[in-house]
Amino acid sequence: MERVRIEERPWWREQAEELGFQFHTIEGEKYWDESAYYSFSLEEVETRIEDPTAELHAMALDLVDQVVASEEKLALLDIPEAYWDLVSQSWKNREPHLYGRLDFSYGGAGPAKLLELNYDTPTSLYESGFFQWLWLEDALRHDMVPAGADQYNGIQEQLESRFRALNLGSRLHFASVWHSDEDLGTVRYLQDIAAQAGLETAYVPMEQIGFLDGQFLDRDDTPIEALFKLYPWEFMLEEEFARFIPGSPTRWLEPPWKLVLANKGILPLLWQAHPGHPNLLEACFDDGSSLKPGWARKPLFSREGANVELVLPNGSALVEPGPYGGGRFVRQALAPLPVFDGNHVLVGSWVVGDQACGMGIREDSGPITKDSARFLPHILLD
Amino acid sequence: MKRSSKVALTLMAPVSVLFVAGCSEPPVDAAVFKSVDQCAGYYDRSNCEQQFKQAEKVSEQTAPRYTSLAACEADFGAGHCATPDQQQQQQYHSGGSFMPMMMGFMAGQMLGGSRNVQTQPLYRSKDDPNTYRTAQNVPVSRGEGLVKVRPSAVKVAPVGTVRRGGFGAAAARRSSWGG
Repeated sequence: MERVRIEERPWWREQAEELGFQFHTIEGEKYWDESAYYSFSLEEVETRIEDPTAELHAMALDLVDQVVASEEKLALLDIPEAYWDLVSQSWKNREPHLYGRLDFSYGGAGPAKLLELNYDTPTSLYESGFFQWLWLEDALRHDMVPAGADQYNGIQEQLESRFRALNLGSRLHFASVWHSDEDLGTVRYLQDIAAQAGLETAYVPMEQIGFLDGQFLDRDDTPIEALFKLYPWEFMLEEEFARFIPGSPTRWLEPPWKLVLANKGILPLLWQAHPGHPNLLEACFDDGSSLKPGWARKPLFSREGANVELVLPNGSALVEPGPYGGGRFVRQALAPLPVFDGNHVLVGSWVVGDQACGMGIREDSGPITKDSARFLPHILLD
Repeated sequence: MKRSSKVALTLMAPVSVLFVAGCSEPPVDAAVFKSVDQCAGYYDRSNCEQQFKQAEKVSEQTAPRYTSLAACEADFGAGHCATPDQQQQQQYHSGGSFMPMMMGFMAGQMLGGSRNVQTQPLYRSKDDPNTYRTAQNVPVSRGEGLVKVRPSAVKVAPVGTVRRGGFGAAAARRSSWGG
């Protein structure tokens, strides 16, 4: 694993805007960053990222079985009691899921360490599956990277084949919150792939979903048979329409059982089930006491680093503010992100269906990866 | 090769042909039957039953509602109105109501044809008893068999007031949900 500085393609901004990548720059800050790329060997990616991803994914699915069968565990994960049946029934019916992303601390030495699973609303998908693929095509064409360079990126192909296999009916609606360009971009991307897979698709803003007579409806009052929502289950279940979900015929992507895996409480459960696993970090539920050096505290439900607290091995503490202060927390042994050229690097490893299929690299100026983290492309060289 | 063999987008790029505004909506195939038996003369019976049940369900949700039997019969004729059974009333509407009886149904999804035509109930009005009409009073055909319809004209629209805004309340707190 190596960080290689490179010239940016002069035309990339224009290309991004033409292709619907409106969020390449967020609030004036660079989000897509091609001033460098990461280079891996094929063997490194297959044995250090791809294989562990497949193994951890299978381990996580095994845990869903245990969690939905145990009221104690459902409670431990802060899943609202009124929806235990919804969650467990969706698992018993094996309602299909689309995708997830595992975040690893990995810097080229030792095993990749799982920081968390993003299994409900993972983003950076467009950048991973599409735009870094285009970058490599251009970079090869203009001799900017070694000839024969490849990329660990079968994401879009897998997504298309997954959409074909979903069997959710003929029409799939897509929803995101109305004012987020980034979420809209991700949803449009998925909608595009679903359309290429032969599904009829439609978009509805999350806030504009209607309800009448037992059915969720889109803006045209057409019933929503199946909905991909880029919106967290834990928030949906707190909102006014939540009580209509169990009785409605709408099928959901991700399905309700993903609530179990999108929850950081899964980290201590994974550790209990597989203590000492080389890709896992020791983890437990938080007892509220002060953190020892070398540990992190994370809310059960938190996104983009919000409300994460770290105490580095040297004793210095870091806290990221955020809106998730309320619920329970887990603590996890610290695997500080490796630093390349002053950047803290996070490896995001994609699973589509149950297939490990690609990778995206984020860099942040600090040790906690936030939504401001930049996305960098990568290549594989033999 | 670890990469997707190709990646392409057809909708996100602004030059997409799929967003070219269509001026006239082409009519599509659907079929009108007065009963399951009649349908079963053409198609697989279990499929017909399924479509009929679907139409009944849609009828419960979309049929015009009247507060009195007399008002309903004035539009649909004597003996052609009914009270939804008690269970349906609790499920779909509160208070007593009268609705026209289904006189036939339009099957949208059994012809290998358009997904844009929803299977739905059809009614006949007192003053034009030979014409099948949708719950929105759109005339569909004068007889049974294959018909051509414009999907937007026969779109099933639930009666009553659609509630909105029941999701997304937490959205105001953050700009993005990505994880």
